Amino acid sequence: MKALKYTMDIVGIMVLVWGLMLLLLVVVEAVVVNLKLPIEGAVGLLVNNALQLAIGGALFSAWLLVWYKATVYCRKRRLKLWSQGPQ
Amino acid sequence: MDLVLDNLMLKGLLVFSASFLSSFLVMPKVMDFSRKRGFVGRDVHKDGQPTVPEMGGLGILFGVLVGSLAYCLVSLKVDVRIVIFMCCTLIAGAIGVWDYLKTLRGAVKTLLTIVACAPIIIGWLLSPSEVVIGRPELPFVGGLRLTIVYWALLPFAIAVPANAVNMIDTFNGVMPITSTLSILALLISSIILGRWEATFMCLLLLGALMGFLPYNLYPSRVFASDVGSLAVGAGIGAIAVLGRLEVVGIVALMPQIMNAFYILASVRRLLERRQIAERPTVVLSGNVIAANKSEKAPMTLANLILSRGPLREPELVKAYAVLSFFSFILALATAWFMVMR
Repeated sequence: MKALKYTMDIVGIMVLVWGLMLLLLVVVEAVVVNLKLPIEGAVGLLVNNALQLAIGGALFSAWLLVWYKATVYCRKRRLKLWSQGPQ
Repeated sequence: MDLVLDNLMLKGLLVFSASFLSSFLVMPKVMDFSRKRGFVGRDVHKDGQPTVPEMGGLGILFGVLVGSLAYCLVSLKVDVRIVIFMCCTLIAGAIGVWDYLKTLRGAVKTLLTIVACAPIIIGWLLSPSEVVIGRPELPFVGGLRLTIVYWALLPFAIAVPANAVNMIDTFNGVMPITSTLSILALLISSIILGRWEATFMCLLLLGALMGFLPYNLYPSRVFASDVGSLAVGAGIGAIAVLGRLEVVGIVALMPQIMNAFYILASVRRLLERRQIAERPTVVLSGNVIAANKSEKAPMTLANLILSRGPLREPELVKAYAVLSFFSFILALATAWFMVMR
């Protein structure tokens, strides 16, 4: 089936993105949210929350970057296959 | 238990039938109305670019409205969550009508769709015991504790799916096919997790969408326009939030989100489709569609699929359906992991 042949590597990206998203959410919930800096008081709370947000944001950005890079690589590879294929 | 399930099944069947029949039967009237008012658009992916009536989404909205009323009638009560779901869908549809008539800028349209989230917040304020939000469930670990971040992201819970579904509505039948599979994933997940109100919302939206589907399949006799695509996307977002199926909703909408992400990542800002200089695809002779290889062309899901070689429109739509089917499987796996916890 042509549709399947045209989508298999995109499905691969989809599975990769899905797996990394679940991993990211689990890491955020199990590790990042539990991070506690040894600073007491309101300042400590603020710094702690800011740190958690920064780590969560960095992980999220890394996830988006992996997704985008995988797609760009996949597209280049597909365009090459297209140009090499029968015209 | 059997009696409860029987009642639920009967109610579900009635709600689905009401929304399906009303949407299916009203569609010819909507097409006539659109033709008479000059609400027509060109099908740019076909030879001769035939004109097709637009605003078919009005039929979907009618289906949602009738289905919601049918639900309240068979339940003998006005369910807050169903009313919220209906309001979100209707507000997004109204924004779609406004956009169709006035052609709003991309950023303005996106910001306006944030308003469609208002019924959820108002519903939560008025009836916090029925509208439970702010505790999304995750696979493996259970409830997420990002309460402040959740509230900060809540306005986008409707805007993102609404605009993602809107962005994918570019070929005959793509929007209803991909959305149907997304809603089916939410429907089955809601049954697995016992979120019955979400089940009824899915049935409502599914019925309305399936009533529209035969008219939009290749070759399309009507286009949904922004009215339909924004409303369907907002409806899916509302189901995900109200049914606490946020993560399942994201996975079920993966092809739509992928498409939106690729456009944003390549164009780097919110633009209306008419503002984009180069199209992501080009139409060759014989109704064959190919990827635009230009550096200036935005990367879309269609461009990515066609980067393997040109396809005819029905084959391209099948490729979209394959991707949606896999996201349907992944969404069910996600729901299953939530149960296994």
